[in-house]
Amino acid sequence: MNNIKNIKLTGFVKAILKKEYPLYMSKDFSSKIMKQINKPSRGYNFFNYGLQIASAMTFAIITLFVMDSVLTDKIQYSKSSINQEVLSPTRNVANQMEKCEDTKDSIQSSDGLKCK
Amino acid sequence: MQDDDKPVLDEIINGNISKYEIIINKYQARIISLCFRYTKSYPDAEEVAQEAFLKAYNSLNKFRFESKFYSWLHRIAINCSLNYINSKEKTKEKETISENSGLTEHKGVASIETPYNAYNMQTMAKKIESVYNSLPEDLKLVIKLRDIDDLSYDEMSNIAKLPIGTIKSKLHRAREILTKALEKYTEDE
Repeated sequence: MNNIKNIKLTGFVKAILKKEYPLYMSKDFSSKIMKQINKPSRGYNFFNYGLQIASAMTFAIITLFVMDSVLTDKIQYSKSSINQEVLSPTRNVANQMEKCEDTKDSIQSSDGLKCK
Repeated sequence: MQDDDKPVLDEIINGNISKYEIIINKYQARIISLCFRYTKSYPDAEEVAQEAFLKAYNSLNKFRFESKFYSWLHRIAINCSLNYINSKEKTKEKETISENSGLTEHKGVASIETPYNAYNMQTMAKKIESVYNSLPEDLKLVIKLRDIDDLSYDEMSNIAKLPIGTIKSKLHRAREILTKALEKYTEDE
């Protein structure tokens, strides 16, 4: 029997004889505590600090690269300048009064207006 | 007052962290049982006991060996249990709980189904009690004086009227018989 197991059993015997025992107990109770104790502390040493900055910068660069490739590739810019003057004349419909024609006997042209 | 745990604790303080497992294994059952008296729930008792062992470990360099290590650990476990009750109280009931008000005996607790990956201490206790009762009187006496009454070897020697060497050898023999009886319950480890 190994030493740790023997100590555990002696502890159980003493607890039972003293009537200070729980009805049940996890088998991995001690290993859970030892895991916590052996967990490396997260102190802010120089290495950890540098590592955090490096990972943040790497993440930022990758993000910028992805954004750049996604946003710029799909935009199709017009080859002509947007400041170019519009050459065709505009027609202000609101201000223009057109003459009406009496179309009694004559054939109505497609553009002519009928007098009321 | 010479503490049996001092050599192990000195090793831990000097950096041999793994030796703390000896301390945990030695006292886990009694500390969980103590915490259960306050928490009334075994999962919570284990959680509080775990916290107590961690607190004791983290404050080990403050321990001055003026009392027995177990007494110190016992005090830490009570404080952790009271903190647990107070934190529960804030959400549940506004009742002042003194240090001893949470104490109850096992007798009132009905048999609970043993969860997976847990020791059934009740079964072990039945076995140990029957083996202890069948021990020869001289072995039974040394076990009683040392493990139940917590006497020193000098005190045991005076009571049993035997030399300390004989007391130690009888105690070793008695413990061997008792631990052997528990071996089959921990065979799967």
